[in-house]
Amino acid sequence: MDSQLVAEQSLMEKAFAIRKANFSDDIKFYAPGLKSYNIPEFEQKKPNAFLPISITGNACALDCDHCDTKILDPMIPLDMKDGLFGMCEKMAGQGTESVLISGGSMKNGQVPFMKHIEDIKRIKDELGLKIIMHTGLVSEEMAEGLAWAGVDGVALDIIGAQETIEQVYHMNTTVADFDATLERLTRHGLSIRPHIILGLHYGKFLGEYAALEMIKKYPTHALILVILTPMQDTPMKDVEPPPTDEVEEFFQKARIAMPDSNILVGCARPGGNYKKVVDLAAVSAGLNGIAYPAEGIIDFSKTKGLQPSFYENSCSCGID
Amino acid sequence: MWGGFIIRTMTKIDKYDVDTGLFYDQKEHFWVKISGNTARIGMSPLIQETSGAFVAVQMNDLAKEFSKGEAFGSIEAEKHVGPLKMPLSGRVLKINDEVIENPRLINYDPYGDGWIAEIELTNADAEVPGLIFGDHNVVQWFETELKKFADKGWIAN
Repeated sequence: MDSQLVAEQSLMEKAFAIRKANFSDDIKFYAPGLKSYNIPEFEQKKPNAFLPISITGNACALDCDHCDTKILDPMIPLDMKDGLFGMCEKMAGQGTESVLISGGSMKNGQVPFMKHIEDIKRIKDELGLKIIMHTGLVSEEMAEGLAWAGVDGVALDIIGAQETIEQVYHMNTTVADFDATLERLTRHGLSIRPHIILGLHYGKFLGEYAALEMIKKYPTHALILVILTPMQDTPMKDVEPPPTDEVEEFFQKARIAMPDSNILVGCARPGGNYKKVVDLAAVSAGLNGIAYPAEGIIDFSKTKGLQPSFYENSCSCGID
Repeated sequence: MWGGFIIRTMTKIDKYDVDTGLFYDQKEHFWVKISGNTARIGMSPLIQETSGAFVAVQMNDLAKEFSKGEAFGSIEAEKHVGPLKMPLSGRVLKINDEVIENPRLINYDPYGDGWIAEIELTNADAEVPGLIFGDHNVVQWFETELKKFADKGWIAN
């Protein structure tokens, strides 16, 4: 057996041992209503339980090379007539339990949610929906507003490389702005669910480990790891996703770096065999949950001594 | 004996090109082109749109006879992950390797290069009458499905 293979096995064993030492045997699998999902081990029964709303429709001032607004397409656009509260009231009447309030960004990387902040508070107070905010960067005023509204969690992508901010996102901000946002959110007592997009720099790893180092400074409800998935009609449509062995190594190092934080694999990752490989790696590295697991992964988790549980909301809703 | 004399007839329904000369499995939205005792199957243009871009097609162990409604594989798309269920009982004679290699063919050409499998029918006389067939019936069914999909928010009104 060569030394590299021994080292890889050792890292994986160490990561899984950390999981066993710090968590129960529970592993969570998520299938939110963003897509219909039915595999032999997990059948989605309440597709309306979790729904994503875009407060800007499909409009976004950024023209990110990996997205080009396409990620907004499957979200439910803000109903201008009913307003945010009115549309959530209807959703709640149809079985929705949680919402993601998201939208396109302004040039400064902020999602313009403050004009809806009173509606957001009413949704929480009067309808009792769980609210996950996708905020982008936040100012002091925005962090105060989120805390006042009582949202359940805040999700945002953390970018750890200046080149990626400039070349992929075309934003005039810095890595330090992401750090400052995490600090503000934490200081205001908000529950953070930061995302790292693996391979974001045109399929290559660049700022991911810096992002991990940044995030681990803060109390994190759940770290969400997603993987660059080249989308049609975007500048990255022909980019290869990052190699699975690099993804696997990141999973292991993330587990070791954040030994007692929940780490989940989010919805976005390439499909087919790629997904099977990385999902196996996630379970083996001791991560805590996976959204839309590949077929066979739930059974595999049982062979590792884990006990699967199932949720029809987003992994950004966390581990409650 | 079913099919054989069918003339391919493309009809525009809303923005969809629908081949009204084929049989349709109304539950799974497969089109079924029957020729003697075999059939070629593929996805209807409505399903291919509501599912988004297809990213993976995987087959189960095909060395057996499948009952109508039994899963013979699975499909993964941007907005859908689920089983492929047989529209009619039979044995899988052939799968479309090009679709396995490039699942987006289902989006680009659902009736042509995006076909999924060819099957030998084992209970055609009993099951084929349960499929939707005939120009008028197919148009009526498709329009009903369009309304249902729009009401559920799966497609834009």
